[in-house]
Amino acid sequence: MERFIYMDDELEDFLKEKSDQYKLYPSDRVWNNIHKSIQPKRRWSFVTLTVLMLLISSRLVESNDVNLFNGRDYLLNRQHLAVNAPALHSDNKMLVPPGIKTTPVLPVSFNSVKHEPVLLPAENTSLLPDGGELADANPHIEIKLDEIPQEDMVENIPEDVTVNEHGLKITKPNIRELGLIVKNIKNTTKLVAVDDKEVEQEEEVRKILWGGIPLRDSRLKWHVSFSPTISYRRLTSGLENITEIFRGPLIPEKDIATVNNSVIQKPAVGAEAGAGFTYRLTNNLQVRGGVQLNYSRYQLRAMFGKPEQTTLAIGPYKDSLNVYTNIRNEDGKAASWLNNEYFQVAMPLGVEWAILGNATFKWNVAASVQPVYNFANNIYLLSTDFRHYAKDPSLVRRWNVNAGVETFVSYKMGSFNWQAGPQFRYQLVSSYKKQYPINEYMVDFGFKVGVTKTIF
Amino acid sequence: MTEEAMLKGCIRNNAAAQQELYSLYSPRMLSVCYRYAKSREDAEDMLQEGFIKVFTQIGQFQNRGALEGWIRKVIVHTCINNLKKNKKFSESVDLIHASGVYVREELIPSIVQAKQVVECIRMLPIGYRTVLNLFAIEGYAHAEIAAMLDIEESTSRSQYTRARAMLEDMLVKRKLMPISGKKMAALT
Repeated sequence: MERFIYMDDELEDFLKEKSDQYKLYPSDRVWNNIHKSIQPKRRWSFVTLTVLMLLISSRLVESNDVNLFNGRDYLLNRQHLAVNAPALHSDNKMLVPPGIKTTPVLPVSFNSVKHEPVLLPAENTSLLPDGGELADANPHIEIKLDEIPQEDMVENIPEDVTVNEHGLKITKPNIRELGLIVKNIKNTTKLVAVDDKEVEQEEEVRKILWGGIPLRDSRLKWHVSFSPTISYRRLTSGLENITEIFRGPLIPEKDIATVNNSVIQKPAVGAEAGAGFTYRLTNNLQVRGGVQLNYSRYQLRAMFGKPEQTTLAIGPYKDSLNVYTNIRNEDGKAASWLNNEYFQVAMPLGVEWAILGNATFKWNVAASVQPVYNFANNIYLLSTDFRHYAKDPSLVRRWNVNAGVETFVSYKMGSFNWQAGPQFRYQLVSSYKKQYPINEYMVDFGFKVGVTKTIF
Repeated sequence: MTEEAMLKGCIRNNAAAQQELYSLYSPRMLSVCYRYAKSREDAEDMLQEGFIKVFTQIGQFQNRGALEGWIRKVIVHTCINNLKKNKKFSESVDLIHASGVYVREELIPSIVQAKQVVECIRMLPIGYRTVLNLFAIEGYAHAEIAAMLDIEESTSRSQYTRARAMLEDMLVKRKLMPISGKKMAALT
């Protein structure tokens, strides 16, 4: 039988005592992984918001783009708006709705893909066999079409058009219907205009068929941008008024004004993405507004120790919050870099001024003011004695204001105006509420890339 | 932040409250994991898994007893599950080599006594160590230990007996646990 040196209770008590005394401090990755597992939504919400905003912006730009179609595409688009096709006779002739003057008609169908518009000079218009009134030979449009399958359905003929076996006679041509009519013609034919206005309308058709309607230089434009940023902060302190609530040794007065020197911090990479409108006031001056998502962060050097009670002084400088923390600004173990992060939605309002350049290439400067809302943050506050870091979201402002300046070069490509250049953004109000005596002002440097698109 | 506020915040999935709770209890809980784990990295993995369970199950804590006790229970169960998952208990080398455990001087760092005691515990074979941790330190009964480890209650008792003897020997040799004159006389 084994003989024990100690009674059961003695050894067990000893082991319990020593085990409780022994503490280990985990590395930063443990908390980061725990945090990611239980709090995934905040990070994803920022990414989701940014992606959603950029998708909406691009979709709006695409749907308002009236300059990308050509005549072929236009005709294709018009096809989809066709009304119900009339029935065909068994001899493959088209039934024309009542009220339309007709003679035996040509079988008609359409080719929605291969037709090629060709402009030819006026020709002998005596081909119209019915002897009806003809318009002046000029202007007119002759369209050549490829072979088209006979099983294709036809589309309605507009009321202001008469159809005969040789072609169409337009009385009141509707430019937008013209494409539709062209599609319905199998053989080479003539579309004879009867009004003097057809010259202008012909030009319009040419534009439709050949390259789309040229855009006016609209004052209102849609703008999207993205910028990686480097964020930093500047600290100032109002601690000289609260020495009576310090715990432990008083900080020498000379150090109160040097809170920036009491911490080790470094800038870190963030980002911003925005979309909005610009409105041209003059040739060189325009105003802009919109919505922007900002992600700013910087890093703090921190160490870990045993959990201790520390103080966060609050105003009017005669009260304090007691918090427990194991994160130290100095004298600890396992030094690590903490991220202080801000997730913001902003509404920048500003002006742009083109200093130099021509219609294609310009150098611009811009300034803006951004009301900002912090919808999420991860902030460590410095304790009153500068020795610890602790969190207290109630001391961080939700609303703030930024001011920004930027300069960029812009290059016009068609209806798109691309721009790139550096920017600087400064926070005008402290990140922290008045009760907290230390003031923090965020500073962001970035390189913005953006594109502006005329809407209409 | 008071414990009640912290608890409420954690139930609401408030990040600040969760980090506060983690900061407060993680050092002690990591040392708990360290007694069960093979290495520091394994201990941190157990701690991470355990605290994820704590935060996801904290709504089930019904204020019966201390919060730390409940967290500790979750952590211990996580450690045991981890050991079982990695089939640590099936290593028969535990029993075969148990009698031949040799503690080398240079393996025990000359630091505080608590750390040395813990390191002695970690020197034990995994099966002995686990039973000793659960019975002597965590306070589980042999019947409970048997259910947790899927072993017989008699096996739990015998493993504890052997673990205790081995640990006493280490502690005395290392002079980590004093032995009184009366006991020394009893032994001789």
